[in-house]
Amino acid sequence: MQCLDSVRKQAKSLWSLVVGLRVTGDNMLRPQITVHYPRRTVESLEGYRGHVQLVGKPGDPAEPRCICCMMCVNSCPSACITVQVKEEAPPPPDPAAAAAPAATAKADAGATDWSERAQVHGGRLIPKTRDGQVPPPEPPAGADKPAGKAPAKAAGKGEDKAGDKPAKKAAKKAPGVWSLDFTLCSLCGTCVAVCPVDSLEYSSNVYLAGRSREAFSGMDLLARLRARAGAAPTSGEVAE
Amino acid sequence: MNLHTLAKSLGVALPLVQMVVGLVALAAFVGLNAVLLVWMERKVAGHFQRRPGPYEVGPWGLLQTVADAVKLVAKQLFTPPGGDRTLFWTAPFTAFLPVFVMLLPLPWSHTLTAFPVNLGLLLILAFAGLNVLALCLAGWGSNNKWALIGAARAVAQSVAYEIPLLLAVLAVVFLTGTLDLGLIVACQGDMPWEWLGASQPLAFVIYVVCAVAETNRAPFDLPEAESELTAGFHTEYSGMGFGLFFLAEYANMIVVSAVATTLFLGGWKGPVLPGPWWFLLKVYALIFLIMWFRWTYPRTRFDQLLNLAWKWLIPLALVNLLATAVLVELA
Repeated sequence: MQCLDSVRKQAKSLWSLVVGLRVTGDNMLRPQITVHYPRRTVESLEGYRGHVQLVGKPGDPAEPRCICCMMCVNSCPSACITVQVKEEAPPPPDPAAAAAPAATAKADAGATDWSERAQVHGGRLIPKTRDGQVPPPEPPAGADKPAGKAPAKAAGKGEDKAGDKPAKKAAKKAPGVWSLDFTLCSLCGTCVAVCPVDSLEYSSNVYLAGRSREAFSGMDLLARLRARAGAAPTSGEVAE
Repeated sequence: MNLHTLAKSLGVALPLVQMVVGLVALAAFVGLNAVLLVWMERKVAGHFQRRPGPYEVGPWGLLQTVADAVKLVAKQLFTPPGGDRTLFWTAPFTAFLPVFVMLLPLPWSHTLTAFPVNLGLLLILAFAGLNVLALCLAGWGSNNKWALIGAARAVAQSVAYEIPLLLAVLAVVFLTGTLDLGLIVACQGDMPWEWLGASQPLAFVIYVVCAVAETNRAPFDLPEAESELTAGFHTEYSGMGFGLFFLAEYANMIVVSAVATTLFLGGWKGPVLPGPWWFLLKVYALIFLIMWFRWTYPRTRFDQLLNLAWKWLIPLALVNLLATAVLVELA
């Protein structure tokens, strides 16, 4: 009996060999996937995770959606993002906006000394307030989106929908410097995930190349966004 | 061209002239075939993995192997220090030269045979045994543990698989009553159901499995298992030393496929087309099958390899031989 069982088992395994041949044979007859590269290129680079790049406003592709909430700066594990708020922001909502981050920071019971932490990270965290005020706190994990909207809302002070469409309402905060140290970036994508206004995306530029390390240690994403908007408003390629 | 007149004008015996012409033609064929088969293997591998394979050098990448061969020839010949120099350099030739003898008695058509001998099958099987010696020498002479392990595997494997191979071939010999390959083909007809493969299917399957093992092809490529042994017995060979092993491997594939064609697939016989074309077609179809195996089956473990030979193939081949003997005696 045992012998018969063994024979049956072997016959089954033998059949699996035939099945295997059929699988590979099927694949041989299917069209090839390889693209003959120098002569042809792939049609879509959608899934490609290049360096991080800024997303332009719907109306003005040369201006980023960024509201300088600093969430990307705070969450970056490599501390490779530097964002500086533009100085010539419209004056009317200025005092309110300046006060808002401080207020939220106080409201947050678990707030720590963020400027110190930023130093530990090595990232440059430059809030708009220059009088030693603490910058907006890093939101607790798992509550990224609502917490990210809160400071913007507070900054709007009574203006409804300010959190939903911060780019549309009189640009209270716009980045003056947005630079990425791509030599440190680990492409983890946390900044893209936490951005409350979807101002960050992956570049699909597969031809990113340079002659020195310095070429990527301080990539000016604002300039790249402007170049992209100027060169080809619809394409996602960076014109270098 | 008439070989009789050539022999007379040279003042030598006709068989000698025949053999020399045959050897030169076979040498050209082996070289050309190796170039073609390496290209074919890479193309087949590519298509199985849904990529194009070589396509940059020459039309459809046909000249890729030529470029590789030039590179191989240009490389330095290195002998590992501490190895046995004589044995080390004897091995590639021992692997390569018997192939010519094995190709001599093969019938390409009813007239086209380089050297017709009435014990052709025996000649081929005898010289096929030399391949093991070559691998053994290469492994021993290399002074390298990977090479030695590869050689040890090669010997165990070849010894195990030669037995079922011989038993499978013997069943065919029982049916036909001759060792002359030309006569064995003559016993078969044009159509597939008239071939000996139809009356000896088990022997055919056993022969194909053993042939794959004897040529050290995947899934039985343990002597050169690159994931475990770097390159196995030819780890230390550079340039044409490796090239000769490579040539021998592909020439051996031709030999085992040609013998399988002759014994089981009606040799050069077939409708419409003339003999040599049928022969080549069948040989290359079998080689394609062997390549198909390579890109389908993962490498076997060593105990699985030996268990397959000793526990399954040898008993099956014996039963098959016994049944054939009884049938031949009754008929």
